[in-house]
Amino acid sequence: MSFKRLLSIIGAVVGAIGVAMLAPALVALIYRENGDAGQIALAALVTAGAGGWAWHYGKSDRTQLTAREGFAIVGLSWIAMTFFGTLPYLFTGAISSFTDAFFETAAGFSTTGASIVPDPGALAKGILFWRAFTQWIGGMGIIVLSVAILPLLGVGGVELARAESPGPTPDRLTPRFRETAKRLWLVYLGFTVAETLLLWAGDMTLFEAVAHSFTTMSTGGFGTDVRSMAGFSAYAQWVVIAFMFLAGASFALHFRALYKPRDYLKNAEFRLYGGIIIVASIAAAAGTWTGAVGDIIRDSLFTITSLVTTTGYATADFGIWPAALQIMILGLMFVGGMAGSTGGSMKPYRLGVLYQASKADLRKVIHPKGVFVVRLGRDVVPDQIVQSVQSFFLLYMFIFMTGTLLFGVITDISGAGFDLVSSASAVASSFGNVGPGLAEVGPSSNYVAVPGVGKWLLAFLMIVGRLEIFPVILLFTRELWRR
Amino acid sequence: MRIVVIGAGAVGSHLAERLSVEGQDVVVVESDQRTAVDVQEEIDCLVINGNGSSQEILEQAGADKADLFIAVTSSDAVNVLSAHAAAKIGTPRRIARVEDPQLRAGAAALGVDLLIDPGDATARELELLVRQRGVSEVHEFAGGRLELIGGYIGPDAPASGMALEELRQQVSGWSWLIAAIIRHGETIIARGGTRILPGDHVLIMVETDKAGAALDMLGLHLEPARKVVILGATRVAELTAKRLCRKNIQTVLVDQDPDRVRRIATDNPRVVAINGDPTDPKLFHSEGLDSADAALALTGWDEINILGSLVAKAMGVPTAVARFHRLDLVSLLAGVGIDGAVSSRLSAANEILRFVRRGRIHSVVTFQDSDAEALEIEVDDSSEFAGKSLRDIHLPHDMIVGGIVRADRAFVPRGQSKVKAGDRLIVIALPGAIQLVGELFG
Repeated sequence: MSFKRLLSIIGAVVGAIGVAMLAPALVALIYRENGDAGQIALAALVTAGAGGWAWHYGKSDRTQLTAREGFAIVGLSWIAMTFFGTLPYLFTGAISSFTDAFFETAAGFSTTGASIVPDPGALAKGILFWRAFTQWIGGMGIIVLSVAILPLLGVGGVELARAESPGPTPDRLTPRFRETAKRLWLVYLGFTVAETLLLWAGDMTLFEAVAHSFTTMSTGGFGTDVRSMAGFSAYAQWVVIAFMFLAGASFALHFRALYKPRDYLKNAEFRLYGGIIIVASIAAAAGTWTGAVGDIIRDSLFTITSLVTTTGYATADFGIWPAALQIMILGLMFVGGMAGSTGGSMKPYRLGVLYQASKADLRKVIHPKGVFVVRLGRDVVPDQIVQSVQSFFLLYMFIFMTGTLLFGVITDISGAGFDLVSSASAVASSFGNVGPGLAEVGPSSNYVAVPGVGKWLLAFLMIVGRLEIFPVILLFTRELWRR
Repeated sequence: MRIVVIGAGAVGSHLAERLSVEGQDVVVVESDQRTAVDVQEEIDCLVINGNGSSQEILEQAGADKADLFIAVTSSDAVNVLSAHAAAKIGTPRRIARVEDPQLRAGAAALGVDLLIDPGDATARELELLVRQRGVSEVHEFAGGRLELIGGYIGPDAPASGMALEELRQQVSGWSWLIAAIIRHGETIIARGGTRILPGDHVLIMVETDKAGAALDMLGLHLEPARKVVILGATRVAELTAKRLCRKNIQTVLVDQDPDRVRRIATDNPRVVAINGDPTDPKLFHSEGLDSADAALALTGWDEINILGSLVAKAMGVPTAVARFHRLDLVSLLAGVGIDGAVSSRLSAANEILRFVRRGRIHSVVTFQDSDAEALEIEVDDSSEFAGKSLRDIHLPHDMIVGGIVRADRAFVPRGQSKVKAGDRLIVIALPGAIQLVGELFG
């Protein structure tokens, strides 16, 4: 483990974030928020400076990265990014507390969309742009990770690795991933532009259209309005439903389907993903059947798509839906977008593999010496991946339970007194990068009331969940740091 | 008729022998000198030692003047290449053995008229055996109006121990004809005095609507298998498993090699693949293999196949079929402890024989455990037997007329039945008599 090399790459990532801050500075300038523009530019300077120094300090070591270092870099740079990302909020004074700023930035880069801002509409345009931009950057980051890092762990982007990489490269990062990442970014960018134009054509201003496209394609969910998406027209909501659905599907699949559209239906994970959304939407529509039919269908589809893709926008207040539907919503927070999408949580791929693996285990009871191959659709899932998916599931559930317990303890001690539904849904929602939870943290409310320590816990969970657990947990193992 | 056979392996030498016994003019090309000498000593044919894909050797073998070219070496590439060479020098019909499915697609363009896959031929035969469990074969003639049914006689069968004359007196009122009896590997064309013994493999010709009565008479029951256990993970085993699954027959495959079992499980989602010893009675019990309707022992070792079949039978599987490499075992063991025996080489040879049209004779059915064949021949106007009854013809002892197809009707003949010009006869004949059949009626 070469710390110089580590520092160099983390520095490069932080430096890039500093450069990215120039965009909100420019936006602030356009909207004549000159004071903010200066402050954000200062934040950009500090961030780029710090990053540039670290990059320069370590760049003498130019040897090949090992997989181990790759994981450490992923975890550490995501944390570093989040620290520096708070600067625009703090310098402009839009968010005065460091804890709150960190929570908001973590929810940004991790594309969670949980917010402590009571009314986004009250924020200045430059800051509002930065808030949406963090999610768009986070989405890009996740696409790179799903190509470069997660296949090495055998846990995420498995589908992607098989489809895109020429062969197994377990030891080091190959330069080829750059080509793949570029293609996927092109799809990401293309969808963002398309959504912006479609939204702009409706009732949104150009600023709103851009901000919402950023946070839709990254399945983030930060809005510009206190009512999330409820304040916009039915047309805008339909556009967002469509693009949330696209963002929650694998970008590699989109790329392949450009040439062969039938590939969508051939993909078992895609069928599972679509099937879950359709079935849950029907259940939601049936459970809320009062009022105009068009509204019911749109609200159900919007809410379910938003939750399954882990976007987190809201048009309806599902906090007042029947209890059974709220339980379903809590369950849907564990689904997530497809592997290789910008969606978080467990991914339909893993759920499908878990189901098939337990089916194979059941058959094994009948035929003790039988050899049963786990397959998703027509594709065989190698044993190694089945095992890592199973241990991922265990870890995921363990962290969810422990997180809920800790969160309950924290809120009890601080006197906030969140009930079980609020605690569990806040943790599940943050960990799965969804955004809103239920009850106290439901769509009509936000995370302002969460005590400070609780915010740090949730922010940490967002990062752990976003990076598919392993890279962050690995940072806490002694083996990673051993020479 | 001149026939060139490339490769004197198990398939090639069997083919050469059968064709030469029939009186065909056979030339065998074999690259291995020792094998070439062996074949020369055993079979009455011309043997040329050399590479069958070389044009020079083919010309030496007279392939340019031959009517039929059969390439059956163990190498797909050599077979295709030599068929291609034969096409170039002008052999009219070319048959090649090709196992690789990817090669099969392109072979036709290279001049192969008929592709033979021994594994697939065996799998097809096994599928028929499983689907017609209880009988060893069912072949249809004359658009399904006549049937040739084969089966093994059990000790409790009504016909067991009776001479055909006695049986004829007991069972009358409908037409049937026991054409041949295969006993201890020897084929007997049945006569009035022939006695049916338990363990005999009997071939009976009937009109299709009386097939049920014929089965009852022989004590046979037609029961298609619903669950089949395959022992071994060989290529034939996999091909058979694929065919059975396609017919919705529950298929369990057992093999000792974990890698091969895994591969089969991976490629065939509907096959239940089990990793264990196929001759282990405990495995049969714990995996529920004993509830299968049929066991097919298809490993690469004759010994294991025999043992596996016997274990399956002992554990209560009603039907057991084994595959053998040694051809002499096939006819010897069928019906003794195990219910049937197959060999990839025989299957392939039989399949080729079926495609060999010899003048007016058309071979339509071949058998696994006998070298007799069922032939179809049209009675020529110039035939001296046209218009005579079968009794007056005095056919030689190694052939029998099992069916007559006349215009729109088909029947199993009796002694007084007359043969007319233009009839198509179904003749069951031993190989030595095949040429004669052509001379008599052609």
